[in-house]
Amino acid sequence: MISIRGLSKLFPTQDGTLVALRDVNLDIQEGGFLSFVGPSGCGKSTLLNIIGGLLQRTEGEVRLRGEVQDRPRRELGMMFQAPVLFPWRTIVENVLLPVEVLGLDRAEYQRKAMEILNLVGLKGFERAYPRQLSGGMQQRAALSRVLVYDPDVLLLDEPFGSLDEFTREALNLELMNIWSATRKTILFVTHNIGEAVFLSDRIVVMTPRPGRIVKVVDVNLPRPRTRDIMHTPAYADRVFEVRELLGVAH
Amino acid sequence: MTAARGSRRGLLYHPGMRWTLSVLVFVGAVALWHWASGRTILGLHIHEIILPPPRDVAEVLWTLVVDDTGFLLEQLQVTLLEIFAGFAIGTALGLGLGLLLIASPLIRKMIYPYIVILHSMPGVVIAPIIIAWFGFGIESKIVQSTLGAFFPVLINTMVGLTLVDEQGLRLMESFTASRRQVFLKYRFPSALPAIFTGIRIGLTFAMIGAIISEFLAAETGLGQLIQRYHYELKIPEMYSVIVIISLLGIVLFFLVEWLDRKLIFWREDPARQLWQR
Amino acid sequence: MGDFLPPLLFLAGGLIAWQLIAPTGWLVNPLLLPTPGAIAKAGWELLGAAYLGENFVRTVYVIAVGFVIAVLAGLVLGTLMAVVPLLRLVMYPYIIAFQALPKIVLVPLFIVLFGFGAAAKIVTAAAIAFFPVFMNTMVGLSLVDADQRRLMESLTASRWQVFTKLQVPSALPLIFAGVKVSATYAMTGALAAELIAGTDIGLGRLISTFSFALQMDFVFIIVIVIAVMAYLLFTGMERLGEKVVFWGEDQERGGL
Repeated sequence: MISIRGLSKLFPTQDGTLVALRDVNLDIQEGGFLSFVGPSGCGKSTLLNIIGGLLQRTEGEVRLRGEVQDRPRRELGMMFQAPVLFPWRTIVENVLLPVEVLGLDRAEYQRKAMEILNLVGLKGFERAYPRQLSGGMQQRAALSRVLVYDPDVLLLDEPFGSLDEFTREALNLELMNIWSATRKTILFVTHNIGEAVFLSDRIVVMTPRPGRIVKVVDVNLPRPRTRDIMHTPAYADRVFEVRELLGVAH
Repeated sequence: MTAARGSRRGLLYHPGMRWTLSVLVFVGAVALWHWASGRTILGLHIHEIILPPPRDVAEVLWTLVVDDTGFLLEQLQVTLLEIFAGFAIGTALGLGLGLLLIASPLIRKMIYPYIVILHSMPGVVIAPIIIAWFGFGIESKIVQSTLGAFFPVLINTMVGLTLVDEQGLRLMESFTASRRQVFLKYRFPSALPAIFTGIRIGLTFAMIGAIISEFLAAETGLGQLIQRYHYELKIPEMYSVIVIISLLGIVLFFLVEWLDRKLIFWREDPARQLWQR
Repeated sequence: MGDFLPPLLFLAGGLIAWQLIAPTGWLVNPLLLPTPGAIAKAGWELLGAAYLGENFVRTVYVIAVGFVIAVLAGLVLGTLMAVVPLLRLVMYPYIIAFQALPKIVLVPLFIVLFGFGAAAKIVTAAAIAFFPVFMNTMVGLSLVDADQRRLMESLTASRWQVFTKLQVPSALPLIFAGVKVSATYAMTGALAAELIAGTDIGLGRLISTFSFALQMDFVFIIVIVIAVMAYLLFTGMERLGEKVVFWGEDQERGGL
């Protein structure tokens, strides 16, 4: 569905040029859950932003269903580390922002927004303002916002990275349920190896200076998965493999 | 496509281009002034007495600066003395009272409402009272510019010392710091950006105070000179002095701006990036 | 109630001390510092005078018109500078020079250009009040949160959509902070121009007339009227600000 060939990204800095990505090649199938893992500075966020069309590449190309992909599109929904809710809009108004921007029928999507908010556990908070919600609830609202207009691909840039462990785990489970139900293509950036193994079909392992792909690991754990899978040897093996690739001592 | 757009923007936003255009705007404005002087535009006659051509003003300005240097410096000196004396006294009083009000909740409760009322009032309206009390001389100008500097410094000192990050205070307490240490090492330094903002506004207001007092009644000073030329209908002369005071104001403004950058080097002012490309 | 007591006691004590000390001429010539009683009497007299109303109305009119012109001009030009960066960069030296300029020196110039009537005072009020709205509009519309902008881009928002749905609402707190300062500045400008012109009508004019006649009790009562006006304007703008910027962001951020 998405193919990346010879992709490089350079950033000019005060002391020369920073090679954020060098010669990245990757094929992404439709309907899969793919994670990008690596330490900060490995270019995983940069790569996601290039795929999303928010950053321009320096060399190489990205194709989406055979077409050159270099701009934001309706088919690609993005979610960031911060919830990025507009403080002057209520929760449901925030969720309906894409509907307004894309010029969709507001009345029809209003109902859908309510359903999704209900699904992610924000029932009763539709008319609240963002500052009245906790960090985890704000991220749930942000997740609803990307789901409401039903993009084919979800680009999630460390979406739960700033949340506490318990909230993060709960949201990961919810994300997995949503993925199972919709079979959207999900590209998920994280620095948490366990999280990546738990969620993904495949894991793209990246290292910094210059940012490049070391290996694409097939997770091969059975689905549907529950928390219990984290206690299996197969899970531990995958985590260990990714750790080794990243050169993390333990 | 991206490359083409980049280069077009690049040319327009080149620093040389930018400054050339800035100079052209100035030249254009002076040309417009020259053209408008003595002309009838949309049925409105702009008399040369009201708007003398730029060349006349430039000539008078030249005479004032080159031939009457001594006279001009004398006036400038008086005005500068008024501004700086008032600014210094006002800053000291504002800072002192601000510290006192923060230290003593009782005094703060008693007089804070009146400070808010006096602060929201335009200080210029009491200039005639000040002149009646302190005379036409330099004293009334210094008092007026003191009042100008006083309130911004006072308010900003209080706000700066009040809005201190609680976590920093707790951190200092965890080191078992004394009240004095907390104040000197944390509270006061973290209030400094706000206080210096008050000082910057204070200088502007001190200048306004001195000028308005000179406008109303004075024997010497640049503001008084403007009024005198106005009454004598020496309009090009009046324009020249306005140009000089404006330049003085701009110089003082950049002086405090520069001081601010040196002293409050950790200040974050996101607006600065608006002027860069 | 406990919060009102100390300031009221302070006021009462101050007024009594003033009333007792002023006539003795111990600190200031009684001619120059009228007693509270004399000021109250002057206030009563002034209330009966027909000319108070017309002077008051004129000053309010000058402030209001100057303020409206300043806000409209500030919004339009500030938006223009935010939307067209090249214009902003080219005009940079003049914007900074205008900011640095003590606008009060322009009053004699405005009087020469626009005469001794209301026009010169309105122009002064507008010239002084213009900058805070202008600057805060420009800064507010330009410095939008990078993540919020990225979100709008990822939703394929048009420039117009980014402007209306993101830039304008996120600039509102700062713009309103500017409007608030402008209201106070318009008042300063109007009164300063009336004082300096010293002719025509208006509360500023009344102050200069009474002070030249050394009727300080009348000067004081008019100053008190102005203080009340200023306080009402200030608190009114605060209230309005809480309504407009209902999501309660810090309005003082970078205020000028």
